Amino acid sequence: MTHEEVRQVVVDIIADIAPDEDLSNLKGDLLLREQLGLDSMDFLDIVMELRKKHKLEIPPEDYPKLATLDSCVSYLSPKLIN
Amino acid sequence: MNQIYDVVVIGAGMSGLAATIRSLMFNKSVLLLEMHSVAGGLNSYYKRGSREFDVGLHALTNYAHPKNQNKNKNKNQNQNKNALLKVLRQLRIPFEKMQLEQQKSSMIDFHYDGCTLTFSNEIELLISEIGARFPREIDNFIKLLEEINSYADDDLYRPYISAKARVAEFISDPLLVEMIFTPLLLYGSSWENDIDYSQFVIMFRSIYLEGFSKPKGGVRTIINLLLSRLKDECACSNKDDKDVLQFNKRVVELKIDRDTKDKEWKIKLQSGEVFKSKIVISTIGYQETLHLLDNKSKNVVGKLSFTESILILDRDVNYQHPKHQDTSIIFYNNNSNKKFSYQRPTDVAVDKNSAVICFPNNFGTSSERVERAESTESMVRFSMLANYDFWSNYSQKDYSMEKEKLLEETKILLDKIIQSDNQDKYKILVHDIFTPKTIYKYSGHLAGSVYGAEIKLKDGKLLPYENLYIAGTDQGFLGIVGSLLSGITIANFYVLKEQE
Ligand SMILES: Cc1cc2nc3c(=O)[nH]c(=O)nc-3n(C[C@H](O)[C@H](O)[C@H](O)COP(=O)(O)OP(=O)(O)OC[C@H]3O[C@@H](n4cnc5c(N)ncnc54)[C@H](O)[C@@H]3O)c2cc1C
Repeated sequence: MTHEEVRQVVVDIIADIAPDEDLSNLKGDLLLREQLGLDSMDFLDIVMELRKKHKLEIPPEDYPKLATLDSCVSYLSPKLIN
Repeated sequence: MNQIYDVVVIGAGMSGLAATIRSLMFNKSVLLLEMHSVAGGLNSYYKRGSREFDVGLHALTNYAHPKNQNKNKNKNQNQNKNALLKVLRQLRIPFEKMQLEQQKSSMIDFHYDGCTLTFSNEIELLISEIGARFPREIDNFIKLLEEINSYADDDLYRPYISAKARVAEFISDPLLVEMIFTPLLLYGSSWENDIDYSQFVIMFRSIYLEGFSKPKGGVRTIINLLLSRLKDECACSNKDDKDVLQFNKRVVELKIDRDTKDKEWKIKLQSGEVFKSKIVISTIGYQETLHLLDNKSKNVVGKLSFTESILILDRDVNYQHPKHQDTSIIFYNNNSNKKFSYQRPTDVAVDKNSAVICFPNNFGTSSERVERAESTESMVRFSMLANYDFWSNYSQKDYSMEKEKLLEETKILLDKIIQSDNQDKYKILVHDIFTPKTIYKYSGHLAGSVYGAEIKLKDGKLLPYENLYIAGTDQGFLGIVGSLLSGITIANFYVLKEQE
């Protein structure tokens, strides 16, 4: 997957979890938590959806790597090969 | 019957449904057992003749609109995300589907003292009411608001602090203290006459800062949305929802075989059927769950129960009413000594000196509200503190007689509130009354307790048992929004995380 595609994977998941949020102006380097008011329960859901949709297991110690859209992309890109 | 489920959830009330949906979302094998033939538990619905009644629903607390979240964020840095929106998000229920109508306004009516405070979903109204009635306290109240705004409620292990004592450090007029506490105790305290300070803060936010609303279709809307989400999740994983949510299954025993290595729970039904699971989430209550375990080490039966009287009137009594045109709920208190007595009445079956009086038709801002006319039928609901022992010990004859007496009292109270003494007054088309005994019978809560044990198991663990968790009222989140959040939280913590 290209970085752009990985980014889209994450944005699609967030759109599912937080249907009321406007995702068109997301900044890659800012904390998702602050831009969207996501809390730890929502991050749990991102992890859950990655597992369900993309068969990815994210160990709890890696959760901080999902903090921004950019960090998601660099963390997930090597894992989302196809 | 050799399947070992990941999770068995006991009780299809709000918390059990929420915990089950979340567990299904995690792709776990789940079984939800409910002793009745309908879902909803303490807040289910029923039919009398051709009319449909909700068991409880007066109002949902924690109102927020998703579009206004940002506004709140700025107002208050420390505020955690609104619980109602959190619940809807976690369960993937779109906000619009709830069809929420906000309260118009509610009133704390200390009748004996001749003092009222009106509040709405905008805190400014309460501030101005306090400013007008208690001018010397207004600065103190603002300080209390600031304290509440900055309070972090994420520490589960804080010891009990008396909220009355803490609030008295801010507000010196005892009448104002009692008035502020009245709705909060009635909608969310399992303690008599007080509440734990952190629970006080949660209730204060959910009632005064966020506020009341009600789905247009009443509690059915909520239950149907939950059932349809449960069905969808079953379909996603090729399960039949009738296998997942099973009605008329009363659990009578919980056992764990300490010798087997896999440590699975055996859940025995009244019918003799036995299910096995790795995790059990029980939503039936603390003491009630101890009974299933045959554990007699504690007595934590909750004290607070209510009667509920529901009247259907031939007209809209709020219509053009000088005082109550815009009233959705009245928190009525007629005790003397500037006190509201929040306790199980000791020498009478029902405490007639206080009541929650709800006008369920009087929700919705004028744009949301269908034009009503005076001739529209309307409903009034009265909740009053009641003593379970009285109601359960009455003979059948006395029981009916006491219910009739309560109906008469209810009418007197209604007349007092709407001051209708003229000839051409409303007619009662239908009425229904239920008592702590009914609550016990239909929900299984011992002593008809609505708010459960005083001690809450905030982390959901029922030690020393492993892989057995309590969700719902006795985990510590009260009310409909609270119990939904409880089911979600317990599933997130122990079904998703622990099994990773
Ligand atoms: C009259 C009244 C008015 C209320 N008004 C409001 C209101 O306006 N707003 C609000 O937010 N809240 C209100 N509440 C409170 C609210 O209804 C409860 O807080 C909430 O519904 C509790 O949900 P729960 O899941 O914790 O428990 P419950 O609803 O009690 O769920 C437990 C379930 O377990 C089942 N069960 C019990 N024993 C067994 C067994 N052995 N085997 C199998 N199943 C079993 C029961 O049938 C029940 O379905 C009201 C309650 C009452 C009684």
